[in-house]
Amino acid sequence: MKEKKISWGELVVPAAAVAYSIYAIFEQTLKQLETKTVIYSVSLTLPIFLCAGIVLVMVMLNRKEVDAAAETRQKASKARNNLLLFLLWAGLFVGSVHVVGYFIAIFVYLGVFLWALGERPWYKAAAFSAAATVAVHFLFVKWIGMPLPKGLLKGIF
Amino acid sequence: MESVIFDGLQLMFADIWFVFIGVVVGMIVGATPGLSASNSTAMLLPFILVLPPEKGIIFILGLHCGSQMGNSFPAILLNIPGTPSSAVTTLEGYPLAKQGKASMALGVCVLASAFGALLGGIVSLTLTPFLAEFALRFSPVEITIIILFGIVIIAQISTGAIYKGILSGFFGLLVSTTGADPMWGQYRGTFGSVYLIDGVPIVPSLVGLLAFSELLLQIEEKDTVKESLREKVTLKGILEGFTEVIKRPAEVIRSSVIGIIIGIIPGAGGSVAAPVAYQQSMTFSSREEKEKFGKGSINGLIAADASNNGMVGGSLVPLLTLGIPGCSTGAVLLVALTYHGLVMGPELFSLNGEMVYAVLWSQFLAAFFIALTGVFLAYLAVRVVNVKMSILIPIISVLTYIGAFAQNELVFDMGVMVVMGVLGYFMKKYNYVPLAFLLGLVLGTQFEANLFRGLRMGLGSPIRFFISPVAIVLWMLLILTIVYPFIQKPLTAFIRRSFGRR
Repeated sequence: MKEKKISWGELVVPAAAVAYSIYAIFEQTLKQLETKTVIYSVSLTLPIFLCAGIVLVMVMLNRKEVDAAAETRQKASKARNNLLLFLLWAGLFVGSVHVVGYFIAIFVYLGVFLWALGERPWYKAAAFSAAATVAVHFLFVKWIGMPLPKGLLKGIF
Repeated sequence: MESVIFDGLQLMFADIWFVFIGVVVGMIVGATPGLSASNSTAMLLPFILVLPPEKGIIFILGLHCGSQMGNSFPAILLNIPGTPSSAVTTLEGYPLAKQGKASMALGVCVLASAFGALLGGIVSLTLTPFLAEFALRFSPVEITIIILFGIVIIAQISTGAIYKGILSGFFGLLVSTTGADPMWGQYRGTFGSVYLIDGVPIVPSLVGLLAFSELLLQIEEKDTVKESLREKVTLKGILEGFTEVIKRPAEVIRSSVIGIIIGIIPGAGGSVAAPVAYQQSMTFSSREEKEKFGKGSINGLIAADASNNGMVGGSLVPLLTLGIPGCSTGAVLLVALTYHGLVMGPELFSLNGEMVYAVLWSQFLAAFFIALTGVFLAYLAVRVVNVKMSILIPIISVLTYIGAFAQNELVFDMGVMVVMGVLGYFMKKYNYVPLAFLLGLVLGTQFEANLFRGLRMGLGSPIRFFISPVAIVLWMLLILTIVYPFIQKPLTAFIRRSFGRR
């Protein structure tokens, strides 16, 4: 069974572009920047607004046929949830790395991620994660000299 | 000038190992479904930037050449293209593998790729200096129009509708206005954050748009099952493939030239070169040979691989002379060159001629290493293509975070990388053009600076942008690029009717 649906995902990029355009124009106008600078930014936003309008019209007119079967919906929902979980996990990693330090952050991040992607048993995921973390430490911190945030382990390494 | 050419050759030999390592890494990257030259070089870029510029750039070029060859391995063994540019290889390579000729198919790919890289090297080495000489006459007016032309042509040629490409390109130009403006030094679009005072960081944006976005797509498709052929690869079979290529010189040369020409066109890349060369190969084949297409045609396989590697050489021409990348990996090369303070265009040849010629000469070495190491890696191809995604995805994600951190040593840049990754995900999924966005972001400051310089040259009047002969030609090409998709069908119908009447 198929049904026609609006492809909302297709509107994300033009929405982001339009939102950024509005922010850019308002910000430069309020800050009373050089007129030529504001005119330049406005001239960049005109094609953005025009193309975003075309995308909106095309999306509304050409609704996509999707399989409405329960199994297909479940698969799509599962894929979307996996993606959101990964983004949440990525956000947690970025948010916590400067607090806990790269060593702990990468070990926990990799271990949980590998387990979530199906690596079993748990100690295999943990061992792999530990090995990868040590490799990162020797390759990037010791050899290349990259000052990754040490966090809680400052003073130990 | 001759001394610069030979100095470049000497410099290249001093860095011979970087070509070798680049080619080997490139083959492994290309052979691993989910990795491609562009997202891998984007991921490795922060580490490549630590190297001296000529070593880093030669490494990227070797990686690019190697990946165009390595992407054939999963295409032949798994019916899964390693990168989009090897989608055509699956049409002939997989049927050959099912007939028990996987080794021969791999051998054909190795030698055809090597010849494509060799011919690409010859053309780029001879053509680039002439175009650079011509580009010396460009003032800020012409440079502005060229950048705009580059973005529009990438928008037009890439998959997806032109309006999506133009939106992507202008979005990139607008985001590039973040930070201090190049003429008056006023701060724009910083969201009140000190971390954006120098603009949106380019390397994390590139890593996010090309590499992190790919991870998001892979996670979404994680349950795809691969069926692998467990055939043993033999040296005898690979050498048989070499013989097949040597018996078909016309096919190799034609396909390589097609790849080179398409590589010169900004934005086209391997995903355009291979299908065009494949279609031409079918056209020029005998009736007997035509029937084999789709069922294991050696001609078709040669066309796909020779054109892919010819494209690499062709893409260096617009990149080094005009600063417009021919493909996504070219965009990474552009960022690498810019990071080291090297300005694209004719000045690059006069100020850093040795390094440029070292890069151009390295293609010949890459062709040699493709032929040499391709044989050994083809042996190991079955192992390489079956690396589990459940291990690869987490490792690559950690490399992207570290890569994003490397440029400015700021955790903030990791966040920028994730945001750009999400944007890149939506762009790739819904046929927008991440390369156009990236080009706008990278070249936006240069575009704005040259635009205002051009206006100053004309004392504030934009007339100067429309009176020089080069500018007029570029505007005509730009308008034609935008308008052509809409007039193509009526024009073709009109021509057919006109000739039909006569």
